[in-house]
Amino acid sequence: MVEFSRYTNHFSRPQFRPSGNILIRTLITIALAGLVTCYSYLHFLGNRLDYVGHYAAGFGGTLFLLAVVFLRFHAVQKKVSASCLVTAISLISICMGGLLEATVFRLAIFDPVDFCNQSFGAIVAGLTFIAAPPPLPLARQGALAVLFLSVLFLILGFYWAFS
Amino acid sequence: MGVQLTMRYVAILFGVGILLLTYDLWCTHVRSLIPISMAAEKVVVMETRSEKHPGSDDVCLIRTHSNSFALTYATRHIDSAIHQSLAVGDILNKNAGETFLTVNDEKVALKYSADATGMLRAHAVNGLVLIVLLVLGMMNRTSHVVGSVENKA
Repeated sequence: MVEFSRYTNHFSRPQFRPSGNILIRTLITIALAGLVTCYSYLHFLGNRLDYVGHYAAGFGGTLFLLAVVFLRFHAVQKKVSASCLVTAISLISICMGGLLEATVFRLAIFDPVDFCNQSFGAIVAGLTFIAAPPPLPLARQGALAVLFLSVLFLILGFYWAFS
Repeated sequence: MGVQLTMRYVAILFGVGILLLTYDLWCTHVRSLIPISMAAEKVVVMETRSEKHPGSDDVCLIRTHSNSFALTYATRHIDSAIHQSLAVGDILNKNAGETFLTVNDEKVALKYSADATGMLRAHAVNGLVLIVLLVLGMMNRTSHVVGSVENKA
């Protein structure tokens, strides 16, 4: 039991259920949060697809970073708080997005609205990971599933932003 | 201890999210000029820059200067509807919250753009999603405390 608590490391609830169910719950939460927020942009700001594009790109990009980091570094085994890591990755993702918006994607001006939307995507992705945490350490198939969702949202983001 | 730390991280993410939504709303609403005051500001430069979708997401900028208190310059990103009713040399006056702008001696009606009203509605939904995620995060932490593996160990 002590060994088990070391792996959960204040991130996921006690694992009384199979990890597969927990992973599915994580994936459903990610997909639902992403779809509901994207739909709210599309429904109320349908004439400005670049807003939802920035949001989806921030959401997908942060999910990508989260999946890669949790697959590669197994932070829980290194006794780093997983929630701390998620928060740090989300904030780093916001900074990276700001840097990209100020350089590569700066077409007319640095638009604070675009920056806020893509950063909000990063925050929602991070909160989703804490609200419905995946089983840790993240197995390869779990990471691949999260990566698939992240790439899907990234593609949608670029499509909406530039179509 | 760990639970408290996790709560802190959830709170940080939630707080940053709320800040981003608020600032986003401010930026879209201030482009209508309604929330701000202008005291004898003279338009010195007007510019339109193209973005990804020319014609629909153009960036309309004006540069004004005012010498009411000290000589100050300001660059403002404004709605295209207002941009079209201004010209270089115009003197702009208004109080914060007023829905009209005095251009020289004429009054021009102001209204929030479709972007601003749409963003308000979209962020109402997004704020609810943020709250749901916050509650889910808090529930996870609570369930971890009560009867958690750590306690049993």
